[in-house]
Amino acid sequence: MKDLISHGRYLVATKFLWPLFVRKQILGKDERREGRKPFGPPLKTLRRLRELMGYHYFEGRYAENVKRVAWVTSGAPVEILRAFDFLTIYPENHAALCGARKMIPQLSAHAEERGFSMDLCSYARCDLGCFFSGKTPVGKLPRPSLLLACTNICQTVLFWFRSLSKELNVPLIIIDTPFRYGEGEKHNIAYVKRQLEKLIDICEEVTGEELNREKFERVLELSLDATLLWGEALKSSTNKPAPWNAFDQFIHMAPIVTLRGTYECYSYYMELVDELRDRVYYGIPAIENERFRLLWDNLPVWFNLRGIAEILARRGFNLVISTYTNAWYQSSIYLDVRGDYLESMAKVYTYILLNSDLNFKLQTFENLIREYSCDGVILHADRSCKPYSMGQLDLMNKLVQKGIRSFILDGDHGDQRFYAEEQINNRLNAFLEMFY
Amino acid sequence: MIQTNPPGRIEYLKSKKEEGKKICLIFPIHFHKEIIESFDIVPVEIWGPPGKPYNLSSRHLQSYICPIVKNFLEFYLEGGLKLIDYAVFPHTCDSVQGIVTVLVDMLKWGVPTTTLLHSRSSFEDLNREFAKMEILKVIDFFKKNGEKFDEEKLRASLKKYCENNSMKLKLYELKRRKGVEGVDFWRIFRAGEYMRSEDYNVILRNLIEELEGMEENYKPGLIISGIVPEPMEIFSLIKDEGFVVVDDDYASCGRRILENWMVNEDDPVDEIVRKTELWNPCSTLTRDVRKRVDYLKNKVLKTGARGLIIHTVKFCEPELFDVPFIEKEMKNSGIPVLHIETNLEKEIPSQTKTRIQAFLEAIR
Repeated sequence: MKDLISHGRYLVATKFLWPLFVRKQILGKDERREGRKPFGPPLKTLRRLRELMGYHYFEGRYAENVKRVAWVTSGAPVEILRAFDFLTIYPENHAALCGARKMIPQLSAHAEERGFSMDLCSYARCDLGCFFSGKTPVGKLPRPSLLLACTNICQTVLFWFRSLSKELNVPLIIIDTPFRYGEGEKHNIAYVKRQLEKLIDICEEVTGEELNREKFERVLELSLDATLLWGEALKSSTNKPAPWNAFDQFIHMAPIVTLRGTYECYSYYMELVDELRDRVYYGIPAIENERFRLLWDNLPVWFNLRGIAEILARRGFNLVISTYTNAWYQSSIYLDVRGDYLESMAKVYTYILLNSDLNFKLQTFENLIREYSCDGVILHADRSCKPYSMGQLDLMNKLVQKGIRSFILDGDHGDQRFYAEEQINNRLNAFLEMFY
Repeated sequence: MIQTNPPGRIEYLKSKKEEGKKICLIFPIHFHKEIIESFDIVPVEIWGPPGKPYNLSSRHLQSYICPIVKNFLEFYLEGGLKLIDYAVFPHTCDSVQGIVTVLVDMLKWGVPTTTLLHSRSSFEDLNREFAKMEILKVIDFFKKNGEKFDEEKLRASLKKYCENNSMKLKLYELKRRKGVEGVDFWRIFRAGEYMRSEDYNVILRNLIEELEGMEENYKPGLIISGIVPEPMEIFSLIKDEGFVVVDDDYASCGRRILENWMVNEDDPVDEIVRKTELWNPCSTLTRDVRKRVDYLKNKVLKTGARGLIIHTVKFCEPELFDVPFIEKEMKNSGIPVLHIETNLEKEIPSQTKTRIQAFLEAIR
């Protein structure tokens, strides 16, 4: 009976409420066509993005007892779950959303009063706070039947998901991707591949269904195609002036993180790439008067994207690319949907930027600086993301030794209590003055 | 007053160096020192050291990086690791993972270095296989650096460590019965962080003999859980308040003592793998925090301790995620619990001292 009611609610919500009311509310009035100075016209696909992500969270609100729901980390091999029709929810993406709405201090307070330290990642505190308080800007997150964490982005997710598993009383699957020093050990990939095989076994056991190979290959193809389109979209910024910038990329990366392996994700990036091609063709810039081009390292400062973007754009600085947005494309070279795809998945998910040593990171900086013709680098030392931030001071020194102007911006990706805005702006302005 | 007196760290290491032995630095937490000793090398753990000002390390690490890593880097940059020939970094957490690449790739520190990655997947059989591959990788590292591997020596080394483990268990039991507490005891206990097992076992034997000669003196008991007992002054404070640490879950101390370990595999590498499966629940490794809660509850029940102190090191993510659950579960079970945080200083901050004293008064 409970299932029947849930199914009914789900159908009414997704087939009736969404198309007739909610979609319109989310989209609001038509986007303005002109950009607000000093920015160029906004991307038209932003409307499509809001619709796509809006539906993702809207569907989630009614998915409990209707769909198989898994909460996953951003670096999890989600293609396997997709092949078993799991609806995947990304606590990190949800926390980023809360961050952009400046809600993290208020939400994480619920976790802090239960003993979670302010020194922990603000994403984790935010999501635990949402769980404890039941508050979320997306209405409701569906209760998962499975948690899937992959250690390729940090060890924090292991501890964070372990806490969720305890609180939700839901099984946690950990895919352990050994950190890559140098070329990495051969046995690392074999170890990850075997875990992926086991994950398939678990999904078969939980769902009572056998893996449909054809469907899985289709998901992998969609994942690869969307990733390649994302790469193409990023590369449009190699043009001068760049048709969009890293601030846009931070927003438009949501589907490649949360909907990887779906047709909706693929078709969205087709649309985005088309628009970016047009913008390049017609010379429509991300900012007016692009004079200098910069590279960003680490996660964005979600609650102050606009503030930083304005400071840069007013002085003619365009943040054309970031190591973070590039990371979602960088390891796609390993994905082989025709050959041993589990081994290729093991490589894709193990050989990512955050799971690699500083030599690899420095090499990535140099490649991006060259490819995107960057004049300088901003390294966001992110209090909430220690593994990404560790080594940045040495990386900056190496870049400066190579004649690349670089700047450390001390911030936090989600919690504005750790962000001294005036001080940061002063330092940022002083850095920008060096270019004139 | 305890009479047993181990040599100091520098004094011991210099004497070993004079004997022609090489020294291998081991970073926290979990590592198989048996392997190092089988190559006739001295394994030396480094937990900080405490009380370092961040003058040189702050040029390389942000203020919110774990103090164990920061203090270590400060110590190295001050020129403090001159006796080291090799280094092994177990993959304990993001900070330890990061410091390896800072040292090797950025600072080019020149010390032959390897890592021991711990398997954390949900699949026990794969974890076992991976653990074995990593152990073989470490053995291979030393062989490639010209050290001679001898399976017999590894087997002998394992036996020494097994004996060492049994003696530590015995020591904790005596400590409880005889009411022994204070910095002296812990200084001896922690000498194992820098001494080879054959030398350290002599010290432990002497200490056991000495404690056996003491009269029984039961005192109110306390359990501490954390990463490393620094500042060591905490034990003077506990002693002054008339309490005894009857068992501990410090990652550098009690957490690494195994309850039921007997060497029984023919292949020494397999034996080391088997040993990893006996490791006590640790925030850096365990996939289920409930196991750790049960483990701590058992310690309290078994020893009759009156309370638990959770002593975390600033910015230690693995521990900080576990603390709320441990606190909640302990309180639900009626076990008094206090959480304190220190920053690897030389002395306990006065506020923290007062909190400890108030807690001990309340549970006396």
